Amino acid sequence: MRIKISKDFSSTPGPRFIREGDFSAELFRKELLLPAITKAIKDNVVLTVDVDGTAGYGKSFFEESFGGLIRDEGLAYDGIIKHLEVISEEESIHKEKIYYHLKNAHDAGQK
Amino acid sequence: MKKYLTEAKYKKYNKRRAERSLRARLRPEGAGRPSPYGPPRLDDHDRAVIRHYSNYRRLLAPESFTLLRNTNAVVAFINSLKNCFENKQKVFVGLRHIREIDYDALIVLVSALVRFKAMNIRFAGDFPKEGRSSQVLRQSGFLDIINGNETFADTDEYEINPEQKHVISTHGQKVVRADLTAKLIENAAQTVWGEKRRCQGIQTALIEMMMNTFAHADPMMEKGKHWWLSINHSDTEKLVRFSFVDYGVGIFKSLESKGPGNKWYGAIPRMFEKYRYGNNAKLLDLILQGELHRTVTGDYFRGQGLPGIRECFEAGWLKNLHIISNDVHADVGKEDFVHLRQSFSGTFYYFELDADCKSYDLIDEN
Repeated sequence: MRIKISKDFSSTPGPRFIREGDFSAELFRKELLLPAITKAIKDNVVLTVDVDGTAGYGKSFFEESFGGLIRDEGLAYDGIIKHLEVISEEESIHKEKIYYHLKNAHDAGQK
Repeated sequence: MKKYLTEAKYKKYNKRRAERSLRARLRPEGAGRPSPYGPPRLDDHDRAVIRHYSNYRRLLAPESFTLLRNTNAVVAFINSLKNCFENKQKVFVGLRHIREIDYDALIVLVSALVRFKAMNIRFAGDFPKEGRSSQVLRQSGFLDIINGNETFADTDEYEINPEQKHVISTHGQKVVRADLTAKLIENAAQTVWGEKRRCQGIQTALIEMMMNTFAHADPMMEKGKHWWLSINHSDTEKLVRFSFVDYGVGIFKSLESKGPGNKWYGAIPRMFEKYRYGNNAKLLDLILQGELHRTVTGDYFRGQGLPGIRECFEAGWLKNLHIISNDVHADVGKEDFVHLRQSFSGTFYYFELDADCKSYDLIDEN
């Protein structure tokens, strides 16, 4: 399974929340990421998310879309980590931040 | 009879006083030495303006009309304009005498003009007849709007000169428009590199600016204020200048206004307790370094908003970053944080894109 954000969602990802503008992280999570990762966990396959090729991301995009899987959608951290692969060759920091936000949301939920 | 009408010394005094008064009345207007104490003498044009626009508030723009280099004077001018706008006062803007104008100040004029027109408040002015200042005003579309019959509705979106690449385009919006900024950046790259490219850090910085306006500019509500983005393309310098402004409450006032339940509530006292900074200039420096974000959230990434914008600058996506908000002007590259005498109600950003900045090829996913 594979999602390329620039092709499957938008080449111009936008703000954090739907109310703030088009192609938000919240929309991406609800419409693409959540159904895909849920299916990947259920089918026990890996979901590859390719974040390259866009015009650029707001700083909260990955926190809301990936961190929100745990915080807002109630998915388990271990299940996501086991079934997620992130491709970020243009800016490697994106990949680092996605895993950081997942861990952060998990840790915050534990408190 | 009273002494001052009869006694010689009073008669002499009254005679000299009357003669002086007559001489003054007969003197041609504008002649003689200008008073070192009062306002400058008015010329024929000024007197005609005052007669014709008698019920307008007359505001003179600073001779050096550049927000980055003459910050206090231009901020005072912006505050006067804002005051007129809030009081629905007709305004006459005097620009005829300006010696220099920079692109960073244009956004102030264009956005003010559109806002006045949209609210049906009369806005008039005079302009330099020739020279670079006249050319810059013409390129921005300002003269066409002020001299023409174009009307603006009170709406969420404004476009001024949107298709005039290589000149100056200005865009006013209330929500985050990543699609619009991506397109503007591609066009900017065309000027700099001769081809459309992706400048992801500029896109990130602009998204942060737009989100800040959306969420923080108006303490009473989200989406309460417009943001304005003006872009100037210089073919000869292979340089594009970006000026972004909102007329909200500004960074520090916004932080102070956060109430209980908000993530940033009490952030300023906590920062003061931790860093004992002297004034807002130092506080802005700390905010840009991510210290506010770290103090409030404990997060080791610098985070969103202002630190994120600085991160884009440090990563080489953009150049010559300036931020002006409330009583601070930050020249981020020079690490020069200046406390202003005049407080600007709003937040202004300026930065540039040139061939040394980082960029990626444009990918056509179709």
